[in-house]
Amino acid sequence: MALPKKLVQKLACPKCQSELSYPEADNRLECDRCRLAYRIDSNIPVLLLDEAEKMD
Amino acid sequence: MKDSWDSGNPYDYFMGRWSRRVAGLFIDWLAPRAGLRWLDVGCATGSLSETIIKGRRPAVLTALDTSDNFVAAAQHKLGNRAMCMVGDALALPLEDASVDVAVSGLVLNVVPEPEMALAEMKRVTAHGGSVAAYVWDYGGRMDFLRMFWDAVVTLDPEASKLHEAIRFPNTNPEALRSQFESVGLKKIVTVPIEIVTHFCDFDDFWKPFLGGQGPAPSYLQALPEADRHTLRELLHKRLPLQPDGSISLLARAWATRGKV
Repeated sequence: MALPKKLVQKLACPKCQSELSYPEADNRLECDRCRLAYRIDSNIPVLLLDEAEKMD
Repeated sequence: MKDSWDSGNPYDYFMGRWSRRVAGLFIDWLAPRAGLRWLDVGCATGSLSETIIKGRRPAVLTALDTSDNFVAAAQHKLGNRAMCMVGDALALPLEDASVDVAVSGLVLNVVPEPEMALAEMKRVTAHGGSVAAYVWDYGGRMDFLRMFWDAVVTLDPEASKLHEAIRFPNTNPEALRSQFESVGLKKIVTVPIEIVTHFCDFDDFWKPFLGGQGPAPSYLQALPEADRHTLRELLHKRLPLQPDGSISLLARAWATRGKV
């Protein structure tokens, strides 16, 4: 199940406060500026810096 | 010792029945109009969020906590009426000025840098909006926890560092006002919120401490059986039992709000 659009629109990267993109197929939220990806577990975004993954 | 804050139901049994009542009084005191955008920082299992939804019909409610177990329990409880996420109070994953009311219930004392959490709550709150929080009065009239720890320290003076009155020295009006002022919040008001915690008998008081969730139950769980029994007997002796065996104690929280 995809995240509601109105949720994603108000989310921001916890590091730089930039808006996040949401490639649904990857089931994660991405900060293009920090090059960090935040996973989504059971439809709950995990927006913790410690648990973010570096993107290539 | 590491606190066990991390599981849903035992914690709800230990604190939930009281924190729900305080949440209701807190929201009544804030008295914001319906239809606002809310943020609940440190939502735990969602008691405060549920109160907001029932009483204030928010346009949007976002709730976050660092514990994924808590967030899952909150999302289950709140369903599609709230948007729950795992997040850090010190680095909120929200845009500037994206909510009207940012609240935090019974959390500010466990956040490592409460001023930074308040600064973040202020950042995400729109101009004219409110930032508000409440904490148990650990050093004063949060009676049932204070009496537990007082008994612990009587039996083991070295455990005084675990006493929540010692661990959380900033749960008083002066410290809260200072924290709110330090981040530039305006029109700051602090009030006491008091409830009576009524236990129908001693077991009703004691059993929630056996759930293993939260600082006091975590301590109790780690005690040898004989020490646990001694502590139980001391508390039984000290608590003000009524003729019918019930126990009524005061639980006070301090609530503070400021304008952005």
